[in-house]
Amino acid sequence: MRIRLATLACVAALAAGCIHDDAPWREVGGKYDSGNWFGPRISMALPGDWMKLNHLDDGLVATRDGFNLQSIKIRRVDPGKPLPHTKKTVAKGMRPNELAEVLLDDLRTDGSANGLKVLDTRPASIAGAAGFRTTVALKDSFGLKVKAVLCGVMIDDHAWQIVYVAPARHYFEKDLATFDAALASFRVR
Amino acid sequence: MTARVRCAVAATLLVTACAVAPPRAARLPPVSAPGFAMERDERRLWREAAEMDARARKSGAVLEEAALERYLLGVARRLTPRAALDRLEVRVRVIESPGLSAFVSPDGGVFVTMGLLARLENEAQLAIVLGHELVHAVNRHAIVEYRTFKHGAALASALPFGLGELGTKAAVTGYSRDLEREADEEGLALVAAGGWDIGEATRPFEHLAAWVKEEEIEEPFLFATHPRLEERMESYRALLRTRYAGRRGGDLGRERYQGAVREIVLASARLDLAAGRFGPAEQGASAYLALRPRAAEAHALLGDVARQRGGDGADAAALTQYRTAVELDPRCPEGQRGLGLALAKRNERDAARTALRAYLRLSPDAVDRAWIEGDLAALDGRGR
Repeated sequence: MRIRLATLACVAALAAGCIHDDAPWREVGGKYDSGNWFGPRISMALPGDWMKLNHLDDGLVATRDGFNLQSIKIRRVDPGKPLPHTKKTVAKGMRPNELAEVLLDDLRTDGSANGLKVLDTRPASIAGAAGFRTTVALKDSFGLKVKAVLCGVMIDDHAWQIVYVAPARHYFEKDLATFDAALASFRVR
Repeated sequence: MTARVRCAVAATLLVTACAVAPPRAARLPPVSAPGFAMERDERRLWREAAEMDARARKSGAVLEEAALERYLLGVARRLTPRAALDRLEVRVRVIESPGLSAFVSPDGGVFVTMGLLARLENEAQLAIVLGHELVHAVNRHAIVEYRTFKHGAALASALPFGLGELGTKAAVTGYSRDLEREADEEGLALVAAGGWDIGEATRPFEHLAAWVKEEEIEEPFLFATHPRLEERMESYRALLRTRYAGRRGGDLGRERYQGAVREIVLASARLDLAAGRFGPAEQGASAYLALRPRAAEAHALLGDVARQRGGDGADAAALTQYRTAVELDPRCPEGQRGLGLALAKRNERDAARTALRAYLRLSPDAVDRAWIEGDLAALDGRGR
């Protein structure tokens, strides 16, 4: 029985690898579920008209009107693994404020994020665990003023970063409630 | 593959590289020459440079410090030949980056990073960097490279492999060896004419070499096509031994320089810490303390460096720095915050509470108020 299940899992994994979605974008369809067979599985409820980017190795990138107008991104951060910008790394057992410091510094040292200013940072419960929520203002490389909500949480041995980014004028406020609802629905299994 | 075959392959590659090197476009007289007139494609480069300058300012990547810009512009103008000053739009912009870099746009806009300014020790070293960059603009190197590159791109596109493409990419990422050497030589002449101490000529490159080592950059792409750092330093040393033999002293401008860039040193150290470069952050904070020995914020930063770097004795080292910061200036918010959190970690509740409350009093709009109030509640046994 055990061998049969393992075989079925292998076949399913191989099939998923061969029959992939060619479209760059696909409607989320209300609820995103990473559907992983192996490793942690994440889910988040999003409005039906939001689209997600396909062909991502890990995590989620979703928007309704396009990246430049609003986006929600989820990425998994493994302890000890290099981050894209800072040389600091996430460590196992980090407290939420320590995790906030590292993930915020990774954003701060992103060459395309200029003049970053922290507007507020506080503890937050995310997916039932102690995490953080930090709101920042910055300019992108074209000088557009944007605002972002950077959230993070450590669950089991992985950190999760959830970010909402939108132009500061009009768009940020417009979809903030959508993000809050999506964040409240975020689960890791 | 035997060593002999490997050598043969390497030699073939080198010969191929030489064969496809695009011919140098004709040199143009400098902007300071009588009757200077811009050519059509050059005018386009200048327009793009002006647009880049506007974009850079709008992007927030450029530091908005009027006094610092005025100081840097003063040094740049002192270096630039008078005739060129009427024709170039000489300006100096500071990029908010802890890296070490400087470049110039064709119309005379010099861009220099905070990291480089923080490491230079005096005005003579700054003049070496600015003088070198300004020679590229005065001698119209950009248009020569642009025209050479255009020709090179056509050659490279005909190649069935990527070697030529690498060569053409190099042309746009920096100037070629001969133009860099010319900038070294004529830049040093400008520094000498301005009365600065040219004995400092190699120092900026020594800082750059130290940075390359710290960052573990094996072969920075820019230098792969330029005289390498050692070669550059050697060419300066040769000039000092020959053309400037016997010339001693000159204006170092140490106090002027340090007064102008002092706050950049601390700001750059903070950027280094955010980037996880603990060594340079520590050196930067210490350098700031050398300029302002009673600067509580620099001790608080050293505490942050120790805490975030971790390791044996990190907490004790951080606590010592935070204590020093608060002793030097009890009104230093970051000192009180660091001290309070360090004491809370040691379960010294009363002292921790006192420091954290002082922090909130000193920073009524603290962006991390919610965290600190949570910590205070935990110290009071009311929360987490």
